[in-house]
Amino acid sequence: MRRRKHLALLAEQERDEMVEPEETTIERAQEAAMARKAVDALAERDRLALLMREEGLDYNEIAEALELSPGSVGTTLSRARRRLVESYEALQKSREEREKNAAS
Amino acid sequence: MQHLDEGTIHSWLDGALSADEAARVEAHVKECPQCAAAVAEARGFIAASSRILTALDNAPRGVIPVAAPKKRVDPIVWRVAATLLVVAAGTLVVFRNGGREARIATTSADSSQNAFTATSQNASTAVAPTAPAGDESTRMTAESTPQVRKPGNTARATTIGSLQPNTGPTEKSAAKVGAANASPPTLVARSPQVVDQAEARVPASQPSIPSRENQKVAVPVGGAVAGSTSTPSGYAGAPASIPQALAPIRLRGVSALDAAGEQLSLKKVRTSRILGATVTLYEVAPGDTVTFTEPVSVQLESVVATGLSSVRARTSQSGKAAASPTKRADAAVVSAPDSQRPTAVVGALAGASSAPVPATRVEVANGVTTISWVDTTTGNVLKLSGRMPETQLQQIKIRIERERAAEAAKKKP
Repeated sequence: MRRRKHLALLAEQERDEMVEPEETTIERAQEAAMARKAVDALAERDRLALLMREEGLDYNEIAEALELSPGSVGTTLSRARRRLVESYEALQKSREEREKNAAS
Repeated sequence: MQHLDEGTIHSWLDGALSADEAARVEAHVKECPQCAAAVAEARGFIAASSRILTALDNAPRGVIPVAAPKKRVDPIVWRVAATLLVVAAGTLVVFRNGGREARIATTSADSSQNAFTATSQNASTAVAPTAPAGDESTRMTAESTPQVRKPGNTARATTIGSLQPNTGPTEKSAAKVGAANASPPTLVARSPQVVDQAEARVPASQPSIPSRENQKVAVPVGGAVAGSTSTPSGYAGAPASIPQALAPIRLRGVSALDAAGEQLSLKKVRTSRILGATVTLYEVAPGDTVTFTEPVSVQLESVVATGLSSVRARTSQSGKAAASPTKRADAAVVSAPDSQRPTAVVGALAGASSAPVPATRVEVANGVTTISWVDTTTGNVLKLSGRMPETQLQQIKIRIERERAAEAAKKKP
């Protein structure tokens, strides 16, 4: 329950940031592109589970939709989250390196 | 108890475990620093992946709200621009088309000589390659369909009458185009007595015209027909007696106008070149201006006239020419919204260059009177327009012609 609240706060924060100047918008677009890449890199089942969870579906619904046992949803989600974060961080790192190279 | 696996930790953090299981996990995490660290790591992954997925969701929202208004405005701007362009182009086309049509109409109705001279002489000299084509077709119409002579007569009479400022412009133009339809050249050249009839019909068909005005109006007609005597055209040998009779009237009228023209002040405000024509703005009285249009590029005009003449020939032959005066009136509305600045009519056409007599055509649209005539030296069709009666424009025209002659004389030596 607290997580949901936290997420709502996060979303609110995101919306607040939307009104920021154009530079931030460009940065946000780059972030979005990286997020897209990271999500696309996931296995289909992991991706679907993650997106369903993000949409607010509970474990039983996800299990039903993906024809998984309810017990394995946690495993699927944990794997998906880890991989998503890892690939996103990898993308972020390579981008930072590119920018550093471009700057120097 | 065994350490918690990652899936269970995520399930627990997602609140997906049963109350029993949740209590068991919670108890273990409190006692096991290793699993507590795993839980902390899992929280981090959950938060991070949630943020990444939110960025995915927010990305369009972050970009589109800024860009969307621009994208929504742009098409409208483009649509407006496109509309303006189309209207402008249409105006130009209609004006050129209309100008040509009406000019031919006037030429054939009033002078009858210009067209024919063009046919007979231009064919050999090829000064204006388009004139023979257009006039040829006009002549063909007249010859092949003798029954159109009668409407031609009527149109002729109406054209003369149309010089009255109080006549509706559409009606007038229709009459003029009707004249183009019928092509009276044949009528004058072959049967001079028909001219007589036409002249006689003037009062009958336009009973409201005061007779004095009528005389003045007859000026170009007389002049034009008079010109026919000197034209070496096979068609124009016959009607010597009528022109001679009418010529003095013309001379009287011109001199009267000339005298009146002396009293006008004529001040050149500005000259600009647009689309192959020189447009000069004269100020004849404070806030009262006239626009004088003179074509400058003969080659270009010839090219333009090619298309127009074929269009005109087609239109007049199919009898749909009556539609064009209305269009021209509309065009005038579009291009003459400013009451102080008269319409600049770019209807200049390098027409029958050998036409010996300047025939004057008058057109009234939206309060703007436009007179056009053929310059005797260059063969160009000159136009003068302003918000004033036709008689005043005629005076200004004389002034301008005189000034031009003076300028030309200066240049020569």
